[in-house]
Amino acid sequence: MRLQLTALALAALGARAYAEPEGEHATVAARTAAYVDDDHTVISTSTVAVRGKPTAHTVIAGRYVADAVSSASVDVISAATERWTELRSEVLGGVAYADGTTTASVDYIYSHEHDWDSHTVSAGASRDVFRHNLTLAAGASFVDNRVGRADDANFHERMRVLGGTLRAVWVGGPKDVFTASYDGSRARGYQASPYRYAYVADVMGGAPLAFPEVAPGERWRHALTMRWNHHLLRDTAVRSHARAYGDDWGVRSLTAGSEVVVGLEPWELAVQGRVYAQQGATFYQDVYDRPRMYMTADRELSTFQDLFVGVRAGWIGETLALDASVTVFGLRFPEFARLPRRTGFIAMLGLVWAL
Amino acid sequence: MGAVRLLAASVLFAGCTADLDAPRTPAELDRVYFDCKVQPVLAMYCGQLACHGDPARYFRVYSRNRLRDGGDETQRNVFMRDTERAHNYEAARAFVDLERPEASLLLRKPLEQAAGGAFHRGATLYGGGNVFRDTADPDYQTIARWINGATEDPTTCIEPGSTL
Repeated sequence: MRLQLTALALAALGARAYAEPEGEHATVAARTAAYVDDDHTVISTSTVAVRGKPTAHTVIAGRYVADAVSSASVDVISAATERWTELRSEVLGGVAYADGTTTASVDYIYSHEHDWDSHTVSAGASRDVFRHNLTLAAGASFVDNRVGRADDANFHERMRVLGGTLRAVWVGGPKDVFTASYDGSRARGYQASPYRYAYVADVMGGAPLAFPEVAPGERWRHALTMRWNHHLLRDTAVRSHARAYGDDWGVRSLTAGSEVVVGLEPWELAVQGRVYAQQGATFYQDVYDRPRMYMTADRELSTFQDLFVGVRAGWIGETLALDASVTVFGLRFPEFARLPRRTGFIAMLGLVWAL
Repeated sequence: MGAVRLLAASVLFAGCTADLDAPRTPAELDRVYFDCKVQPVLAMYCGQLACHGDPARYFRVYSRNRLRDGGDETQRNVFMRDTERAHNYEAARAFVDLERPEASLLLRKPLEQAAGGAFHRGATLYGGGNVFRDTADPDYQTIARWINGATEDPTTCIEPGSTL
């Protein structure tokens, strides 16, 4: 069972948002994180990533991610089933070329959990122009998901996603770097959950009726992101971003976040915050007044807001780097009566070794 | 400015969608056949208090001596009320897929997976297997006939356990 929001929260594990030593031949990074919320969900994630440089302009990358999810969330309880635990494994392999002006990369990701298999192929390229003051990049990806249902040998569905990215990075001066990017994707196939049901108010005044969740078979998504990195003082920077998102299911969202990073060699300290506000899908309702063509009880398709606040500390040596972070968060679901609020924290530890 | 235009275009595009709030036309299935033939099957196999006689379940079945819509313990065995019959009918219709009748959860949930059924926790809850071993089961056939449009003459139908 995919937990979209928690997956989002842990996605940072795979990204290189930290100052790291760069090995002459190879770099090995290991991170582990724990997600705990008051909806009785615990996720532990560990990742090991290796980057090697077989030639001066070539990078080969590999990564393994393992998630262990244990949940007795409101969705699970509503289905009158017991707490479930599952493992997700993901492997990534990629090769990239970079000569200082031009980059190109190809990645493949395979992700497996007992009710979900996913293959992702992505490619991207970038080129610096105007004396490296402007970088233009484009990328594309294709994801083939095979959706199953726990303990159900006869449930087989597919969902395919084709996506593209355009990005421009502009060095606006000695203190500023601006990034603008557009991401678009089209998903086709099964996009509901076999575990969830939607409620319709019982017209006779009794308990609500349940209907199997049905989502449209197609979804177009668009996102525009702006980033601004501003050098403030010596070894201190502010990194801010804003993102607008819209899709043809009626979901609209705005995200804004900022991080203040202070360098106190060999230490790096950061304070970060992010706010998110979403208008839900047009067909989402906590309890429907009558049966609809499309019905979902997915609270992450409802109108909601969240706030993430965190601190991070890193120690960066010549060949070794350590970092740790703690983020607390709160989500508010005003249109989901079964869980109007959710709070929790994410703690992370990382180790990078340059060879 | 270009970025703003791009965002505006994407938001406009996102608004140009099919009617996602379109009502669903419930399966028009014969109420008399349900009361007469299907309701007794659901009561017998599904309505146990630990199973779909549990009001916490998405799919609830009201039946005599099991889950009742109101009343106290002294009324648990009274005749089925009209509201309970109506609820069972509506709840069963909600699990019918008219476009693919054979894929209806009302049929696939109680059917063994080896015969094409869906996961059903009740199949393992008591170690007794699923309700229907295969599609030849007469009670499976009763539900299948209802989903496929069977009707019943109200003058000859006597619902078991009813006041008729």
